[in-house]
Amino acid sequence: MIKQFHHLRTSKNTRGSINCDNSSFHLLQANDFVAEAIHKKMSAEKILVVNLTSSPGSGKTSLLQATGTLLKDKFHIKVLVGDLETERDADRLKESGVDALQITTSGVCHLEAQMIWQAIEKMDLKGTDILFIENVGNLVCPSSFDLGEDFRVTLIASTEGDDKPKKYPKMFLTSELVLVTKTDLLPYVPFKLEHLEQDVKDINAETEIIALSSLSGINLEVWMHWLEERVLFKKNQ
Amino acid sequence: MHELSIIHQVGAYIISTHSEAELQQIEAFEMHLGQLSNIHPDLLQNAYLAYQETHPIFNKILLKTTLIPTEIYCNQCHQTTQVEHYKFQCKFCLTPSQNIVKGNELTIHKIIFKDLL
Ligand SMILES: Nc1nc2c(ncn2[C@@H]2O[C@H](COP(=O)(O)OP(=O)(O)O)[C@@H](O)[C@H]2O)c(=O)[nH]1
Ligand SMILES: [Mg+2]
Ligand SMILES: [Zn+2]
Repeated sequence: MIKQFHHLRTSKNTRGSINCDNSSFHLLQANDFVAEAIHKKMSAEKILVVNLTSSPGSGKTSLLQATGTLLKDKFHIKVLVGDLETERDADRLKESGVDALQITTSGVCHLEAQMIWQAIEKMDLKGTDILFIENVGNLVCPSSFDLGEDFRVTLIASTEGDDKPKKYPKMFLTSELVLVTKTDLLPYVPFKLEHLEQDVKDINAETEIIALSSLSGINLEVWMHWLEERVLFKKNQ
Repeated sequence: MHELSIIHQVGAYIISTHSEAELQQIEAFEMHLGQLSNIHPDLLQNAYLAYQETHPIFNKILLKTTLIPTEIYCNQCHQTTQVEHYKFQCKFCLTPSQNIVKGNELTIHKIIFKDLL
């Protein structure tokens, strides 16, 4: 059963610029313009684009490694991974058999649409089903930059505390899915899933939440299912 | 966190849209900063100080900032209410809403010229 989505991005209007009166000049307009171009290009090629955001160390790369392994016979996956410096994450992903390209931002704390555009121009995207973008670890700045994605997925590890959503409201406001990661550590840390859920729902009642662990594999099938539904939806659009 | 790059864009925009003579006549510009823009007014002022160092044409131009609180529109009762404690729900009927009408601003709202007597 494929769920019917009315539109892919439920919180699109809260990202980037809003309509402003003529006297105002929105500073993210240039970014949004490129983001729109990316979205068009990827839609034409029927590639699902997922932007993963979180603090550093919440488990984005680990999740992508696990995802790549689990989906390798089903879908063709590519990853664009942003970091301030080093190619370590792309190397880790390639070791797990995932086709990854590193974007080093030379100190910029977020990815911008222009960086994605330049990267995809260099990539051979033929036959790709999902393009994951691993954003720079930061819950603040990446929230303002639309990368042309279909979905924004924010990770929060059980070791980070359950009080984070309201500290970084814009990020949670603009995410369609929240993944609670490292749930294998829940018995050892003071993290209440109900607290996090309440915080997330206060900000955005429509946000979905999946609690999983890339290490133990708990609920990875729920995440796979979430992805599969959306890949198929994108293909049939 | 990206206040410095924002102020560089603002400066470049103002320079590109005004002649040298017009720039001399600018007294101030006002920016609207939505609560959700993640731009801190004090950090923006600091960034502007650094920008003025390298762009002396801005030395006599003041940066004014106005913080815009977050407001949502309720589709149920058609009212606009302010968001408090990051609870995005209508104050009247308690329906959740992500229909943000104010709070995302990151704009040059106004450029103020000296009074030409
Ligand atoms: N216990 C546990 N550790 C994890 C899990 N996922 C990732 N980690 C560890 O968390 C650290 C940061 O993970 P990484 O994937 O590099 O995070 P990123 O910075 O968000 O890409 C690494 O040491 C991982 O081994 C998990 O599900 N459980
Ligand atoms: Mg990583
Ligand atoms: Zn209402």
